[in-house]
This record gives sequence, C-alpha cells and structure tokens, in this order.
Amino acid sequence: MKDFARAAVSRAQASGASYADCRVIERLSQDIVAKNGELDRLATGRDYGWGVRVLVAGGWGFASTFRFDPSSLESTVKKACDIARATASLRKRPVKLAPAPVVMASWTTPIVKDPFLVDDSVKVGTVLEATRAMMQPKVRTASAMMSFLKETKTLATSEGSLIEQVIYESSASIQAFAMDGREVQRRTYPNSIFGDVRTEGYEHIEKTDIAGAAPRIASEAVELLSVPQCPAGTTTIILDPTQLALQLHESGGHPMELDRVLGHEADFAGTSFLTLDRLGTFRYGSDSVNVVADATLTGGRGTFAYDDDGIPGQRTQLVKQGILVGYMSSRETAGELGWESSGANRADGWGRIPIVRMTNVCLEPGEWTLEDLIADTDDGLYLHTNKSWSIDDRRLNFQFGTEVGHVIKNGKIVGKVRNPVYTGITYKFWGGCDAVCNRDDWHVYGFPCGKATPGQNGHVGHGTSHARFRNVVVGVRA
Amino acid sequence: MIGRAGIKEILDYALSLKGGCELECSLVCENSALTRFAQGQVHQNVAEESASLAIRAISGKRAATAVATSLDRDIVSRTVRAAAENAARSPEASLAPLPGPQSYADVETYDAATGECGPSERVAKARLMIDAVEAKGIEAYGSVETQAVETAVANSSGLFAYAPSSSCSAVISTIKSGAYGYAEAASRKMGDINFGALGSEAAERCENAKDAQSIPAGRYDVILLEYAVADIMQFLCSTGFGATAYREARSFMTGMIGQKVMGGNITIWDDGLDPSGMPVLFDMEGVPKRRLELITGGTARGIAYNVSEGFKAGVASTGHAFPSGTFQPGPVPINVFLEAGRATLDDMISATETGLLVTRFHYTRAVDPKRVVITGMTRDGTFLVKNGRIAHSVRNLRFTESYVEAMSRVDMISARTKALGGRSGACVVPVLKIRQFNFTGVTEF
Repeated sequence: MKDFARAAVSRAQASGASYADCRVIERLSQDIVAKNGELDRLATGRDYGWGVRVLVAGGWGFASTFRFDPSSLESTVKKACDIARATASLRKRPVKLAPAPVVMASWTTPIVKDPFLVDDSVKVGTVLEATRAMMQPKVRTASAMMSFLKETKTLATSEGSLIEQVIYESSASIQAFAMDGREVQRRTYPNSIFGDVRTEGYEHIEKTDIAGAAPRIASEAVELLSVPQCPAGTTTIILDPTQLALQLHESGGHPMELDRVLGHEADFAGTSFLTLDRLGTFRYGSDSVNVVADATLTGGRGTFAYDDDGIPGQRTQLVKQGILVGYMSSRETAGELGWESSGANRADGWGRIPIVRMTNVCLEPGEWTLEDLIADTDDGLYLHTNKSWSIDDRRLNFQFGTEVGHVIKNGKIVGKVRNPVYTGITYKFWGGCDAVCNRDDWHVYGFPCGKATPGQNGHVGHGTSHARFRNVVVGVRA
Repeated sequence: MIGRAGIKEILDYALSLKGGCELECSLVCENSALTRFAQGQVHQNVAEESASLAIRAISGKRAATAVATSLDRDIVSRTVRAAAENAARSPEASLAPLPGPQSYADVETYDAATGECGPSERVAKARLMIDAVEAKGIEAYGSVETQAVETAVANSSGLFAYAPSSSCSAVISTIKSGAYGYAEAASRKMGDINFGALGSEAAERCENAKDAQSIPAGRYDVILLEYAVADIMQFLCSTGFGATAYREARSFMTGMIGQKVMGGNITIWDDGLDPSGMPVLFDMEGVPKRRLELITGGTARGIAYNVSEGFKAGVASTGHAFPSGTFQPGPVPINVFLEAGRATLDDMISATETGLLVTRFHYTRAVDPKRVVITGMTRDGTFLVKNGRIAHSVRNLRFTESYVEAMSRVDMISARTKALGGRSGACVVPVLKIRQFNFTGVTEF
C-alpha cells in the first residue's frame, strides 16, 4: 500500500500537480441479520481501491479506481490531473490549503477482541436468539443485526506525510414491530439508527447484550399500542442520550461544519445559520451548553488519529457557555479563511473525496443525575429513542419524533404516551436547556451521516447525557 | 466499458467455481464523474471507476452472500469461496428457486456521448447554467454528473443478463440576498438536457422569491411542482408499494388490494421499459422489467416483488430486486409514473383563492410509515397564491402530512410531466394541486 500510494503521488507531481495525495483503502465488512427466528442475511465484503487528489493550477481533481496495475496508476493519475485543469478553467480564485505538519505514523483502534476472529456461529446464534426472545403476541416482526468493519488506510501526500491507520467498528442492534389493527409501534435497542456503532471490537457486542434486552424491548413495543397519544402543547422535555445525540448531530454538528458555512453544500445538504459574522458572539444556547468536536475519544465512531488531510485528530471547542466559538474544518475550508484546520476532513472510502465531517460532536456533561432531574420537573415529558427526524436546510426549524414518551408529574414518572413529536427553532431550543446530566450518565453513540454529491456516508459519534429543555412544542400531528 | 463478452467471461468464471452450490452473481461496473460548483466556481470535480461483484451461494436450504470490488480472478475465486463458506455456516431456511433464462426488451439505455463525457465538457455544461444565473446577478451552486454503467446478472440456472446504461443529471441552486431558487433534470442522454434553460428556471425562481414574508402555519391548498411530487412518489414506493412492507403489514396497501386508497383521479404504475423515464431492462436477479399497475383510479392494484418475496406470496417476481447482500427494505418500484391530467400551471394558480405554490421539499422523513405521514420543509421558492395570482414569496414552512391521504385530495393534475431521478430509476410526475395540506411550522428564512 505504502509504495503504491507514494508512486501515485510522485506521478501526480511529475504531471504538474502542486499538491497531491493518495489514499489506498481496504475495507473488510460483515453483516448478519436475523428476522423472526430465521437468518435473513449473512454477507461478507472486501472493498479495495485507491484515489488520488491533485491540485493543478489552483483547481482540484480527483480520480479513483479499484485497479492496481501500472497502466491504471498512470491513467488514473492523468485523469485526476485533466480534471483539475478543467476545474481551474472555472475557478475565480485558487484553492489555498491551511498548513499541515509532515507526519510519519501508524495507528490502530485499540480493541480487545477482533470481531473477524470470532466464530460466525456465535454471532449467528446471538442474533437468532435475540429475535426469538422478542417473539410474543402482537410482535409482527422482530429483527436483529450485527455489523463489523475493518478499514486499513494508507495516506501519502506530496508534502511528505505517510500515515497508516487501521480502524475497527462493531455494532449490534434489535428492533421489534408490534401491531394491533392499524396501529404500528416500534422499539429498538441500543439506538434506533443502526444501533450504537463504536470503534471497538467484539467486546462492544458482548456489553450491548442484545439477547438480554430483547424481551424488554418487545414488551415495550406491545405496551405502546395501548398507551394514549402524546397530547399537544408546550411543555418541559427531558431527552435521553440517544435522542439528544441526534438532536446535537442535526442542529449542532451540521451547522458547525465550515464547508456548509462557506456554501460548498448549498446545492444539496444546504448551508448554515451559523454564519461567519456570528463566530464569537452568537448565543447558540444557554450557559449549560458546551459543545466540542473530539476525535480523540476512546471508542467514538468519529475517532481517528489523522484525518484525510493528514491533520492530527483533535479536540475543538465549538460552543462555550452557549456562545458559538468554533467550526469543524479541513485544510481547504480553513485555508480559505487563513485559519488552521481542525482536522475534520474525511472521505467515505477510496472512491470519494474527503469533505468536512463531524468527528465526535459532544455536549459536555453537567452536574445532574437523571433521578434528580426527573424529581426536579413538575410537569413534562421524558422522551426516549429517535423515531423520525427532519430539519431545514439552514438547520433552524427541526422536528423529531421518539419511540417512547414518559409522562412526568410532580417529579415522578406516572405513565407513557405514544408517537411523541417535538419541534422548535435550534438556538431557541438550546437556549431553553437548563440542566445536563453528569459524566456517569454520558456515552458516545455512533451514527451514520449522509452528505455531499456523490453521496458519502460519514462515520460520526456524539457524546451525550440526559438533558432538560423548557418551553418546547410537542404533540405535532398530521 | 468492459463490454458484454468481457463481463460474461468474468461471471462464467465465477459460475464455474460453484462446487456443490448454486450461485447467483451480479456485477455492476461503473464510471461516474461529477463536477460540482459553488458561488459560480468549481470546487469539487471527481471521477470514480468501480466494480461491485455480489455472489449469493445456495447450498441446499442454506444461502449467504459475499461481495467484492475487484475483477481479478483471484478475488472472484475468493469471493465465491467466501459465499459458499458463509452459506455452509447459515441455518436452513425456505429458499426460492433461481430464475432460469429470460428474454429482455430492446430498449436503448446507453448513449455514448453521455457515457464518455470528459471533464471539459462537464465544466462547459456547468458554465451554461452558471452564466444563465450570474447574468441576473445571482449566485450559482450545483452539479453536473455523468455515468456509464454496465450491469450483469448470471446464475447457475442458465440466466444471463447484461445491459450498458448511461445517465446525466444536472442540479442548479440559486441564492441572492436570502432568496433561493432551484431546478434539476435527468436523462439517459446528456443531449436531452437544456442546461441554459435550467439555469434560467432557477434564476427566475430566485428573483421571484425575494422579500419572503412569514405566514402562519395551518392548512393551505397547495400547488406542488414536480420536484415536490417526486418526493411523494418516492415515499409511497419505499413505504407502501414493496412486498416486504406489505407482507409485514407495515404498508398502507396491506389488505387493501382491490379497494380505494386514493382519489379516483390518481393512477400510478411502474414501468422500467418506458423510455420517457430512466429505462432499465432487468432487476438485480435478472428478472425482466415490465409494466406493473400499482394504483388505478385510486384503487390499490399491485405490489412490487423480487424472487424471494414472490416465493413467499406464491406469485412471480415483478422484477424489483436489489443486489443481494445490501441493506434494502426489500423490493421497491424505482421507475414510477403518475398519470398526467389536463391542467396547466396557470390553470391551477387561477383556480386558487388562497394557497401555496411549493417548488420542492427538503429533508423529508416518515413520522408514521404505515400511513405515510411525512414531515419535511419547503425549500428554494415557496409562494403565496391569492385570488388566482401569485402574491408574494413566503418563508419556508414545515409540513406534517399523510401522503396517502393527500393523494385523496388532489383537485387538479397538470398535462406537463417531468422525469426526475438518477441512474437506477426515475419518477415521471406532473404538477398537483392538493386541498388543505397540513403545514405545522415555519422557519426564519
């Protein structure tokens, strides 16, 4: 991999590139899915290829291929340079890269049990057992899945960096659909969006214990069929860490990506209400709201040693005591403003260019416990596990639905409601955050993230604990 | 392009390694390129050559899959072996037999000028859109994408299917002083797309969208342009028209075949062979495409099946399989047509006392998949219609609405249609005027 990457970079320089980098990536994957006591899918994958990114005459070109023969190296580098020249013909100003250190390094996700060495019969047995444990009257579909990824990535740059990283990911999750006439209710565990993906080994699967959680999840899905609809009104809500993670992702992480702020995503994902003139002064949330992007957290899905610019993974303060103080950036976007990169430039595999991605965007823990938070709430809803999500293209107006709503009266949980939905305007919502639970309650959840054209799937994490928000509109219905 | 013979040689080699298994092999080889621009200059310009080989091995009642992104014989061999080993470790299940040899329609799906388009030409097409926009003093954002794809399926029962295809899609977003506009187009042939006209459409919309005023949420009659209607079709397909959701009772169609589910003026069908869409000859199990009636005059008529769902239901596949081994919700229609009506857009505006003209929807997600209750935002040009005329631009609104129930409240349907989508499929849809669409929130722009 190293020699090939260096050769591609050298060829690009010889072809006129003022800057070039090459990533050679192998991804090994395994997906196991069971449904209603039967195996639905057992699939393994190997995805291997490389991409070369060049700057010629101030314009970017990128080309990638799965072919590794010498003529493909030659033709693919030439293609990238030809593309860059075409780019340069429609540039108003040349790309300017922020500085980067020259790095020679290798790094591997610290894991205890390599998931690819665990016997498949153990994995298959676990997902089958989990679905069987969910089968009870009114549960129409019970499914369970496991996914594993091992990505081996070599980055060489024309500035002399040569970095090798091996990143593992593991996840397991279950889902129960209960039905009763026209009503359909769903419960999932440990998180609704492909489970809780973490950069850990099989030890994460053992800790997650999907088979152990299965009976409870199935019973909760059935119970939801007969609880009242969430009432409409304005109230206090407490969000569980999984829902808060997605809230933070959509209304915090995305608008703090510098490429969105600069308009690079305007034709697809959208822009951001957190414009540059608001940096350092805009009140994004209450004093309780402190947000960081931290690529160094153990186990986070957005954890790595170096991004695809070769910038070290780092911790960046985004919001401090409610005030916007930073963005996530790449060498290109930071360079446009004369800043240093925050090390957040990552591509989805070998075939796509790196773009600004969230790392692990986290709401820093506060002082509360969940028990105290509920006891301190006179009237409200405790909302658990995401079911739907949507936000406008500048990341202001959002609406989320959750699987479960617990009704709080006089400091106690007194019942459940189904189909809870809440909505708001981002900075007003975070401005109503008056309590965040402590580090004992805090966990980094892994999420996928769609962005860019051609589409790229990002690997991101969010550290969150329970938190409380005042004056939130709930109960939106069709 | 590798060509039919080269692709067949690779798949024949894979099939020759079957050992004691039956095999189903699919191969998608793709050359894609995209030129993307922001503020009138190219900021991303990429090309990708990829190959995706999926092998499904069936050993008696056991089946499993392995995938790889290589055409090397060594990797093909290892992938077949991995699929067979995966199958051997799988529990027994009730499996559908593989389809045998099929015959395919003669529909043109490849245009060399599109498939072989180079970066200079893509930039030139982008420039046509940008120039049309910047001439009006408006910022241009967008992309031009071209693709050449070879798709092939072969199995141990003698099936072999091969088709090359090309596609081009263009997107243009426009921004000026807080006003937004948009236009897009897609075709198998780049020559079918008028890039300058797309730029002009997006620029005009942006000019009309200036000085947006806030209006309260509530129920409004709406005129939905094709971009918004395509979103409705996509959700009806993904949540309602597929056999897996139907069988698992997660679909609004479950138990409703032969019954009225939408207004009598709504007819929806899937037809992978219609050249006015984005034609596709066969699905990823090699089953030929044909017309499938989904809704006729508001009555539920049909569901999309792949081989395994058809086997479970005791019916034939309708040709709607995705590649094995990928995470999919099951078979889903991807070449969908909503029958046109007779109205013009002007007719619809004239017939509206108070309502909204919506360009497109953004970030739509299912709140209740069974009823197809969707929430999302309007985007890139929303206008208040008052007394039969466009009164002014309005700030974007959030809606929470059942797309199925909305399709029972369609008052007018345009004669004009637009094909929207990408390389693997398209929606061909008209403009719709719908009564009392439910808007549940507003944003600040």
